[in-house]
Amino acid sequence: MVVEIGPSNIESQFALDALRQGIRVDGRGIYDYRTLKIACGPTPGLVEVQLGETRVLARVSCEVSRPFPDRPTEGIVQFNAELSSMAAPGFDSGRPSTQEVAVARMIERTVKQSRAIDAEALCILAGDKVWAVRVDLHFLSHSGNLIDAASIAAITALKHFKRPDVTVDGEEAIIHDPRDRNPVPLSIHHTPICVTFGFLGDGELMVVDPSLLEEQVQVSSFTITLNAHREICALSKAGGVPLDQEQIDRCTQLALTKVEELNEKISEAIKSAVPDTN
Amino acid sequence: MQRPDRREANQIRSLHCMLGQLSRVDGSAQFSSGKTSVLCGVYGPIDVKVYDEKLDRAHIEVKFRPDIGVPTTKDKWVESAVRSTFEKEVLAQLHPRTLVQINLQVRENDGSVDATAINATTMALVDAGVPMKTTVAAAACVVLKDGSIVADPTKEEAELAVSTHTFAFANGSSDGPLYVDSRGRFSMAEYNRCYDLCRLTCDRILAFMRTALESKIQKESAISAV
Amino acid sequence: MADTKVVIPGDVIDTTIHMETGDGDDSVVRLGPGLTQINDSVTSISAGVLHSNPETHQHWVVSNKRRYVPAEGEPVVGVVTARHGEGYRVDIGSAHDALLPLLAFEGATKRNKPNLAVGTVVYGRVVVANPVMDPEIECYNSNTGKAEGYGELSSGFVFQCSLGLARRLMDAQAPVLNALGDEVPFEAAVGLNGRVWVHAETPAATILVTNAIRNSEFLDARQTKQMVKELLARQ
Repeated sequence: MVVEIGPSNIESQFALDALRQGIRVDGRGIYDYRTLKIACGPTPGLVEVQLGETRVLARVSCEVSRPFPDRPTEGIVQFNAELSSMAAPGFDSGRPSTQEVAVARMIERTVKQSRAIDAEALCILAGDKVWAVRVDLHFLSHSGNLIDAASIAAITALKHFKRPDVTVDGEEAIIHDPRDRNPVPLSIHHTPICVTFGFLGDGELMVVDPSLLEEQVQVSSFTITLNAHREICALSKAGGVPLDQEQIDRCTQLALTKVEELNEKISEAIKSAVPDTN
Repeated sequence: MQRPDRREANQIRSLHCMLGQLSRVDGSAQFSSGKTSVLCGVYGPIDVKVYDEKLDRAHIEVKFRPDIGVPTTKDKWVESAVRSTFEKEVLAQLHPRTLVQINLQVRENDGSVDATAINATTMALVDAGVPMKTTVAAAACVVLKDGSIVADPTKEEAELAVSTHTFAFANGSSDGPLYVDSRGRFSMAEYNRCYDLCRLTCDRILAFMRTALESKIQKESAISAV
Repeated sequence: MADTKVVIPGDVIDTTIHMETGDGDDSVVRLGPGLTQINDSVTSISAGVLHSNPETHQHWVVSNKRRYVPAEGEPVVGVVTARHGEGYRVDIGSAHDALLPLLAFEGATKRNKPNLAVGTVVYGRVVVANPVMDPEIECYNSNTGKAEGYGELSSGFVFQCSLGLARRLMDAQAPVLNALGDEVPFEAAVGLNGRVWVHAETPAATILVTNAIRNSEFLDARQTKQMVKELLARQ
């Protein structure tokens, strides 16, 4: 069994020494993201995000389902995020690790519980038929900061996805074949995006978009989810050393500018997506 | 009979292969036939769990994940198909007490996904430098209601099929197939026609694999020669 | 003359082409890495460039990999993962951790030997490599008793590259080392297991050297020079 071993002592020490001088091991600035590439399509809802060497594939699909009895007019949104050994040696698909659960929960909170998807627009016949939208997140390569990459992939895929058109005639719902009638996009209220910060040393050294080495050395991390309307959708600081209130404020300010940039990149990627040829 | 995408009956979709784009694995490949696309990441030889350890050879493990949802029995079946195909072709005895792990992820399934998974595995194993007796290529075809046989079926064509057939053959060998999977009702004559068609298709895929590997290796060797 | 015949697994190699020019003992063919005998023919088991030496009847395939398989005599960079009664376990990137005996250091005696913590980086040489046994490394040359550059590596930085690049870096004339050496003073220890240790005066210089070596993976000599120049200009 391959157990992921941490970085060697000199790697950890070097990362800290460099950071104290304001430089990062991969040559980035403290506040820089790694190069972000978003590839949409050709199939609607298929999006691959590359953040440096980290890669996440998101796949949105849908089917007609029966609504939950307590919410007869709302569609169903399901998330599935699993870390497999494809992403890094030692990940076991049988037993999810704490990290895996943390990533999956954060994404679900970001996109689902922030009500980014208009669930009522997914209703076909109240109490009888609704759309069940499924988001599968496949982690292909883990080189640090899976959360940000996954949140970008998930929201981009949801915006890029198109479901079959439906006409309701009394009690009858007709689902149109994509070839007969153009499929329609989902109704998305807003686009929440995660921005993650890592804290190293005694918590005084902050970095944006931590790399794998920085994640392994960090003493605390902080993720803030914002949308384009400058609203906070989720916050997460799971343990680690305590952080100053000023640091949180600084992170929030930084995250606001980062989310603006990321939002632009997402819109660009959807605009320049390869059209589906079928 | 005309196919929905206007292909000839024996024509396969355009092939595409990218090598080594994943950074954490020892070798990787993304193999696509039209819209069907499978990503494969290989580790090996690496440390093995005690109960999988074989004293005389490497243990071969295959993990297959569908594009949508969690793995089902059908996906487990593809896992065993890939494992049985490669168990005899990887020179496992060269690395005893180790593990060769094959991770497959379907990016998109538009038919012939098991054949594409085998092709992606071959390319990823070669990219990882895992020693192999031969290069393996797989191809699928289906027999339709009117008795016509079409190569590399899409999902739509596979749903209309009376029987489906997948074969894998080895590089440069005139021996029989390494892997056969035939389902549905078919006559011996139909089976033989499918066999011949897939044999030809596999030769074409092997030629494509050779070109893809050649261009990568020539690029690398041009650098080290300087 | 660069011979660039590319072979893929399963290709049958014609070993008779050089028979006429040999020194008389034509019946012996020597197979190197990447080739094996299957039935009556010499077959390639990896994808790479086929090389042949007509004088010695040697044939071998050169290919690039990322996973290390230990071979005797090769220098490696490893990380200590555990300490046992008789030695250290060292991760050298291969399937099994290597054993590093407590006394396999320059001048080590039972009373006076280095004490390495888990996570320490060492530069060693593979002395036992065999598929059925765990590999063993030494941090000195057991013939001379001298360290010869092997031992603990303190400060600096370690990074991973392909085994092919590591092999190219073993040549002191490697374009990237030359281009860097003219401008930035630095030390490096190259492990054939694809791990490289670098140390320069400042973290910034170490990062520059690291990035330059990593970037040189897919660049030829001329491109490498240009890339190093650009990195230096950005400083």
